[in-house]
Amino acid sequence: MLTAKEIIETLRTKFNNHIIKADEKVSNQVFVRVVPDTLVPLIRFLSKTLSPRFLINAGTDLVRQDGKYLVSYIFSFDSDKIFLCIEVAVDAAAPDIDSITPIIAGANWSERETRDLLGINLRNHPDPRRLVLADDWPQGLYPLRRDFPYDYKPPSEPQNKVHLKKPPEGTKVIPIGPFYPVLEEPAYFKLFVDGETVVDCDYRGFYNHRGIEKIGDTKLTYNQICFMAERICGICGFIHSTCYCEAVEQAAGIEVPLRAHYIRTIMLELERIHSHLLWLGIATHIIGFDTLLMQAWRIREPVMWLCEKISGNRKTYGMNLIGGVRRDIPHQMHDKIITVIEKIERETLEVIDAVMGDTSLHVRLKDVGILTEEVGRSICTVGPTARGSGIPIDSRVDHPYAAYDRINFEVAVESGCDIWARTLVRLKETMESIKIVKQCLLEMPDGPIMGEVMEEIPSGREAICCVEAPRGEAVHYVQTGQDNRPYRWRVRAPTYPNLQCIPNIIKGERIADVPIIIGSLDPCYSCTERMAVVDVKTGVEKLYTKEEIIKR
Amino acid sequence: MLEILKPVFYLLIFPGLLFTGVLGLFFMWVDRKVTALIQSRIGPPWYQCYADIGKLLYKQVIIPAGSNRLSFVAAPLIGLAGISLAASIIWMVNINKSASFIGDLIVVMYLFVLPSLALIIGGAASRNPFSSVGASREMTMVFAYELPFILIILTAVIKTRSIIFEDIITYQLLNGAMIASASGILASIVFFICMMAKLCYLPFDIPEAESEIIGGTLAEYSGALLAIFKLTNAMMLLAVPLFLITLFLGGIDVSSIKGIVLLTSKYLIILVLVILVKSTHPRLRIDQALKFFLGPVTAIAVISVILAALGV
Repeated sequence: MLTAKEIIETLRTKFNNHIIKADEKVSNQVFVRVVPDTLVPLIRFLSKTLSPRFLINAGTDLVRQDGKYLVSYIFSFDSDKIFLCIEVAVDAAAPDIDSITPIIAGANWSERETRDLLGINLRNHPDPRRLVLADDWPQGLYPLRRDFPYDYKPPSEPQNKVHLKKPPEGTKVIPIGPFYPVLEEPAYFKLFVDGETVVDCDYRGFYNHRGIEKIGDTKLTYNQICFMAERICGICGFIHSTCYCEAVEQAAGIEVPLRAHYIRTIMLELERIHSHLLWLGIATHIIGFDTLLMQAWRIREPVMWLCEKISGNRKTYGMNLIGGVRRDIPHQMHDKIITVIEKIERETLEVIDAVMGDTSLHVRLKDVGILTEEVGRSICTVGPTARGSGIPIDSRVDHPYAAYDRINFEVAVESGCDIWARTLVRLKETMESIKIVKQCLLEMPDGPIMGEVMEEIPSGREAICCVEAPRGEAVHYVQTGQDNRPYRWRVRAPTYPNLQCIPNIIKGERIADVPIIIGSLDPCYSCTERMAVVDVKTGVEKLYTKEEIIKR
Repeated sequence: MLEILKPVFYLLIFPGLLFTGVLGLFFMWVDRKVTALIQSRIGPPWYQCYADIGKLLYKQVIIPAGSNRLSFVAAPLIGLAGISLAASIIWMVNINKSASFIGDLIVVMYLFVLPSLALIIGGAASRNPFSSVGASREMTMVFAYELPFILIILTAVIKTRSIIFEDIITYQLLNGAMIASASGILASIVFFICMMAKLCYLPFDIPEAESEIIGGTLAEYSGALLAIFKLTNAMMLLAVPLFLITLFLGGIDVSSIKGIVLLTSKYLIILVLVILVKSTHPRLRIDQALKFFLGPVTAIAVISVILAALGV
């Protein structure tokens, strides 16, 4: 097993002259600053030798401090429970950087996002098209730079429209989206098909930007962001607020009481239970099995009531604050929770039995949407999508947060690589979650639910936190700042890496299977797209009609 | 004068369009209600299907720009005409056996294709990609299930040595229902499977596939034209099982209370089976359905024909 020191040691021996500084700022989180030219060789060396998993990169505007942009590449050593953050400071006068996507395919979107929002130009990127910004966003305007006001509304420049790939010879185009009957959120898959078979596809998403990160580092305070973070996702919001809080707490060294950790764990697992049951319903609805949809959602409903009893809301609990939680789960409620959970356990077991024995479900789900382990690793997929392909990663075990280091549970891993394997992973996880909630209620110690928080959180610190959402891990990276707010807050939702594997897994499949394949990743577009500055919805739609009129 | 009006009355009022339509909509409600109970829902009130049709009838009819207007409007009417006629004949031959005519079995078999044809014509005329996909899937499905369907009707013909309903019914009155024989039971099973496809129910609702192609042909239909499609479906729900009862389950006897009770229970058993199958299966893919019908289903149908020829 590697330790943080060994990682620094290894890098120092190989790249000593090029490392500006390297230290373990937070326990098990290594931050290494290197000179820009060393970035690509260093990452090539890393991926060949230690092969950490790429999580995300984040760009920070440090122009006012030292005239540079800081780009941080965050990696995870899963079995060693260590985060590694490689930082590069590029000159603001010529913000160019070499792309690492040729080495790590999963860095594709993340690098383009940094380019779109901060204006870091990429050299040698295989697909440098605009990703995050709206089609009519002006050239040369970068919303995440500090001199860009959070409420500025730029003029429309429709000529910047992103051009999707041209269909290969002999194929037809079938559009899935931007609004498709069973995929309830906006996302556009342009499928290139030969007869019934999908040859390739292109994706345009990010129709639903809300500029949350920008508001986070210009307008809100530390504690307000907890509530904003919870609104990143409509299903797994608590994951994001927990992840943000833990990142800030680690950066600032705030001690959180054990009881608060347990309460967070319980809420996170309740969220996983209802999210997985929701997914089961949607997935079976996509293939027309409405009876299972109705049953899964009926079973799910008491969890929502339970959450309402605990927090006052079915969703968006608003329970997290820096340093702890706002609401206790009093002893009187334990029996109630156990009763509800045990009923869900019984009914879920019945559903699992029915699903396992249903041969017609096997016909639709087995050997469809194959994501091989190799592709899954190269695209850096996470969560049940990765675990269904035999990649045993789960940040509850790999980077324990909340009370997970005190909890016994199994990580569900399947090696089938198909939709069926992903289904099995989710079903098993639901049962594990039920166990975890029960164990938490038993072991939860008495005590305060809010820790001591210093008057002012010191600035200039940074930390990374991963939280295992139902769809995979969410990553939050926080740099503390002045004025009671973070200097930079970077969010990566689990669907972000998972969506990038879609071209790979629908290649060679039939059109009729595409909705269920996309659905099998449990995609959550709105979480993924948290980032632009103005609501672009109307602008984009107008643009499309105009274009279409011109074509006609 | 009255004599001339009689067939019109048979076709439009009793036992054709109005009677089968009203009854069919009622059983459509039974279907929805039972499905709801299986899915732990409350389900609609008994008049829901009538209300649906009534509401659709006074809603605006939108004909999509660029569609083929004539086929778009004619398609639902063709389907309705076909099913009304088929239903009338099936009822009439059972009520009054002398109403049977030579080859009426063949005629009914073809009339039952008309609603599918209507979906194909309507879908092709809609100028909507989802509708065209629906139309082409419907066509594939018709090719898939018509072969075993015709084969099992052949079973009945071989057994009774006749293509007239009257003889088939009389044969069953004398020798007992055909389902009691080896070939008859195989034929009934195949008929049931084909019926699921004809009714466009799960696992064969591929041409409509609400979650894939938003209803296929029906995507562009609205108002009265949609109402006609819905009514056609409701009448199919009654008429196709009646066809099965007439061919293999001993026919329909409405001359006595006992006969009516027997008929109702036969029909309800079939209906409950249909509902159970449809609510416990996901949708198959079109290629899987094609393989299923042209593989095992056709094989069973062939066996049933051979058994019938051997007199079993």
